[in-house]
Parts: sequence; structure tokens; C-alpha cells
Amino acid sequence: MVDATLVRVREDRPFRVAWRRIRQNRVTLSGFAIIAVMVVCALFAPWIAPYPPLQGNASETLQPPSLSHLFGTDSIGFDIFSRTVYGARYDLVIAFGAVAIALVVGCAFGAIAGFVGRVVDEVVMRVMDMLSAFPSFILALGVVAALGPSLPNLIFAIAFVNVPVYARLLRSRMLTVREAQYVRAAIALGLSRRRVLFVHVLPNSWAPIFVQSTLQAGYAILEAAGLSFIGLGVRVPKPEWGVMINMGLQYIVSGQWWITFFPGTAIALTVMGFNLIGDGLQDVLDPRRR
Amino acid sequence: MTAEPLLEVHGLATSFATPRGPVKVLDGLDLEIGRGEILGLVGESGSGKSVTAYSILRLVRPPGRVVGGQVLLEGRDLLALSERQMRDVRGKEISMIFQDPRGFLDPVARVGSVLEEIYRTHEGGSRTEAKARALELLRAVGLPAPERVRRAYPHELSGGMAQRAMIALALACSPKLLIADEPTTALDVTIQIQIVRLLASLRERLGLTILLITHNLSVVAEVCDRVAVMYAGEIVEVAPAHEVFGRPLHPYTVGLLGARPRISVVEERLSDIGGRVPDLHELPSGCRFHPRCFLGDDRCRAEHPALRRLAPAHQSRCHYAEQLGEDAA
Repeated sequence: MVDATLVRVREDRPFRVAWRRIRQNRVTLSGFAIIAVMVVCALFAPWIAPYPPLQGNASETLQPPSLSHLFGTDSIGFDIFSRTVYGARYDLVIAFGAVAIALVVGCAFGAIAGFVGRVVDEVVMRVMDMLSAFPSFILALGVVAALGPSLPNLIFAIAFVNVPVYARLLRSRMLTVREAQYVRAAIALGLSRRRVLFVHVLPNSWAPIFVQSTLQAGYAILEAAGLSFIGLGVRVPKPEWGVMINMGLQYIVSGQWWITFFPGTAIALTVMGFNLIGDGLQDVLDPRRR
Repeated sequence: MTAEPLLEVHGLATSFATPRGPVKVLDGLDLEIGRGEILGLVGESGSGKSVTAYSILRLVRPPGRVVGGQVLLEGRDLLALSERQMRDVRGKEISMIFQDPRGFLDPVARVGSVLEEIYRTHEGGSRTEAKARALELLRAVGLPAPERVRRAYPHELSGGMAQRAMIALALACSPKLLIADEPTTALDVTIQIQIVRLLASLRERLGLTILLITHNLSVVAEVCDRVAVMYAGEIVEVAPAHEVFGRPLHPYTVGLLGARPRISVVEERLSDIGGRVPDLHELPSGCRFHPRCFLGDDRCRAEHPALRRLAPAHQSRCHYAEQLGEDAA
């Protein structure tokens, strides 16, 4: 009979296996490290930040970086380091919140379109086309402008513009997987189309959806910071990175670069972190490459 | 074979819409499979073997469509069932296994999870029961370390093991009929024999009936009780296996046997059948095989032969079947 040693079955749990793969991939690992630092900042901001984020010191305005103010102070006397740490709260909440909502809603639309097909597919996908025909920043801007600037509205607006991304992605995965031989086999063995959706199609679609999500989280931060920068989103003087750049804008020319530099760097690092994670995640999530 | 056959196919016709008009891939196909029998369905690529299997299970996908006939499973016409009822037939009464076992197993699902899903779909029951059944099946198909295979992903299995796992999936709900579509084609020769013997032993142990689709005549000789030979969408000869090999009554079967490699004739060139399976858009007049047949004459060009019963268990669709029989004798 067949030699038992031919079975190369890993005894590990899936998460363990995934984690081992992540550790071996330096690019992804550095992405995770960056995001982990940002998450720690967000969670423990009150303990990390040496000053309250919304308490200015009128006698110490526009101070350059020093030991007492690591990143310097702005025109109101706010400590830039403290505000940058607190800013992680806003921007990560916006990124995760917007992506989570867009993922759930977009996948639902994509699944309905791909599963029902015909007229429903046409209608749903043409609406998605219309949404993605707008530049996403302009569309988000319009949504926030219509709803009024607030944190929940900002999250909603960014989620809204990301819905078509997920709807398209899941639908196209469904069209591909639907033709797969294992789906034929499952139907030949009596599974209903709905069970096939949950047992085969969705599990075969998670990997690209996760990868896309890390990229979308990066874009979400850019959009959130951009909207807050122009005053539609988180409002001055709250410690959000886009708001902070806005507040320091007029001081760039007079040489007080630190007011904009540090929140800008925080945005760039976080976006880069998400992108690095996305780069390696495809490999990690594919069981064939374990 | 005195009792009522398990599966009777009458006048099954399946056509595919093409830009050049509809094509009848199956044209009035008749087939009977007795309980506990292994029927081999042989023919060249494109003769309609797989379409027959998919038509029986009503899995022909557009642009293909079953356009006529009856498929009676224990007297019940499957073509008349609703899609909902048909779903209960698939997997539970008729199951199917495929050519490329690894392609037909989901790459991101563990073998056990699919197996248990199929079992629970048809039989209900708890997860514990499904797990026990999965282990029982994986053991029954001769897989070593069933507990490990149950948690394995398909890429972790060898081709032979994957085919055994596929067979376990197909048997999850104790079907009466197993349709095996080229189950050995993608495997190494040594593994082919193992899989074929496994099918034969499952027939003995489970009283399974098997429709074995293949173009490998060695496989047919190894396990089949009867053989049906297909050509251009029609059955051209049906007979017990030993008669097909010993006394073929259709020139196409004669040609197939001649094209089979044998150790004893290494010196000679393999004989082949000239030409190829006809374009179904432009079927030859009369007998569909006549342009390639060593017997083809005016009668064959003009008159389409019927499938005639020449002996109680032997049917042939050739005008000159009797002469072939005499020549062989």
C-alpha cells in the first residue's frame, strides 16, 4: 500500500503556521512592526505622551525639537510628540473602521452580484462602476461635505468610496472559483450552490481580500488625513495628523519645519507599514506555500 | 442481471449550442447498468463519454443541454426531477469521481472538512458523527494514517492519495452508483492499478455499482464486467468484457484493441485507426464510422445501422457484425 511517511501533514494550528511564515518574511515583519508601534501608541497614548494633547503652553510656542519637547511645539504651545502619539488613535480608528465597514458591505454586494448573476449582477456592478468612476478623494469629500464634518461621517465617507473595491474583488473571485473543478465536484456530490459559496468560494477568496485590505487601510489614512487637512473631517485643534499638518502649514516657510514634519512622517510610516504587510501577506495566506 | 437494472438510460440526447448551430454530442444513447456491476465506458477523446456522465447527473453546463431521453434510477426518471430533488440524488444515490483528483479537491480546504460537509449535507448528524464517518471512509479507501489525511490540505497528498481521498468524498453517503470519469488517467501506472483494484474491492465490500469511464483498455480488462464502446456520441458495441476482448463485433472495437500496446508485439508497429473522430457538425452519412472503417462500403455510406442484439448480452451497431464474428471464430 501507500507509504505512511509520504503524508507530510503539519501538526500546527493555522495561525501558528501563518505566524512562522510572517517571521521568515522580513518585509512583512517590518510592516507588522511599524503598525504594532502605531497600535501601541494609540492604546497607551496617555502613558506615552509626556503632555496632554490639547493643553497648550503659551510660554513655549514654536519651540524646536529638544529634550523637553522631543518633536518641538507649535504656535499654540502644543507638544508635537504628544499630539503625534495621540494622533495614532484617530488615524488607526479611521483606517480600521473604514476598511472593516467597506469590507463587509462591499463583500456582501459582490457576493450577491456574483451569486445571483444576471440582472442583479448588472445593476449592482454598474452602481459600483459609477461610484468608482469618481476620484475617490473627491467622492469622499462630497460625502463628508453633505453629511457634515465629524469623525463618524469621515469613517462612513471613506468606507463608502472603498465599497466598490471589495465588491469587484469578491465578485471576480467568485466568477473564477465558480469555474474551478472542485466546485464542479462539490456540486456533483450534492452540495447546494449556497453551501458551495460558503464552503469553497469564500475561503478561496479571503487571501486576496486581506491583502487588499492592508492596502486600503493605507489609502484610508491618506484620505482621512487629506480630508482633515482641508477641514472636512476631524476638526482643529484635535490631534489628528492631517489637522496637525494643516495647523503647521503657514510655519513651513518661516522655518518651523517640525510642526508638519513629524505628523507627516507618521502618516508616511503608517501607510508604508500597511503596504509592507500587504506585500508579504499573499504568500503567508496561501496554504500551498506553507 | 436478471433483476431490474439499477440505471437505465433511454435515448439520451445532449446538444451543445455553438456559433455554427447546435451539435448533438449524445444522440439517442441507450445504456443499462445492473446492480453491483462494473460497466466500462470506452471510446476516444471526444466520443461523448464524459458528457454521458454529466448528463446522467444533470451537470451539463450551458451551452450544453440535455434535450431528450430518460435516465431511470431504479425506475425514477432523473430528468424529470426538480433541481432540489436532484441535489439529493447527487452524492447520496449517484456519486462521481474525476480525472485529476488534485484539481477536484479544494486547495484551501482540509480533506476532512469537505468530507464532513458532504456527509452532513445529506445525512445531517453532529460534527462528532461526521468526523467518525470521515475517519471510517478514509480508512476504507486504504489511506494510511487517516487522522492525518483528514487534516491535510490536498497539496500535501500524493496523486494516488488524493484520488483515494476523492473516492472517500464520493462514498461519504453510501451511494448506489459511482461514476468514475477517467479516474486513473492522471496517475502513475503503478498507482493506476492500485486505484482500479480499490474500486473493485469497494464493489465487493459495499455492493457498489460502478460506471467506469476510461480510454485505458488495460483498466477495463482488469475490473469491468461489461463494456460499452462509444463512438461519435453513440454506443457502437455492448458486451461482456471477455467477449469484447475475445470476439469484438464492431470494426471500431477491433481497431481500439489493435491500438492497445502489448508486450508480446514489441517488434510490430502499433496499428492505429486511420483518421479521427468526426466533426459533429459534419457527421458522415450512414454509419458514423464508415470513413475510417476497413469494411466501409456503399451500404455503410447510405444506411445508419441500428444497435442490434447478436447474442443475449452482445449488441453491435455494425451492418457486418455477423461476418466479424465468423472471422474471429
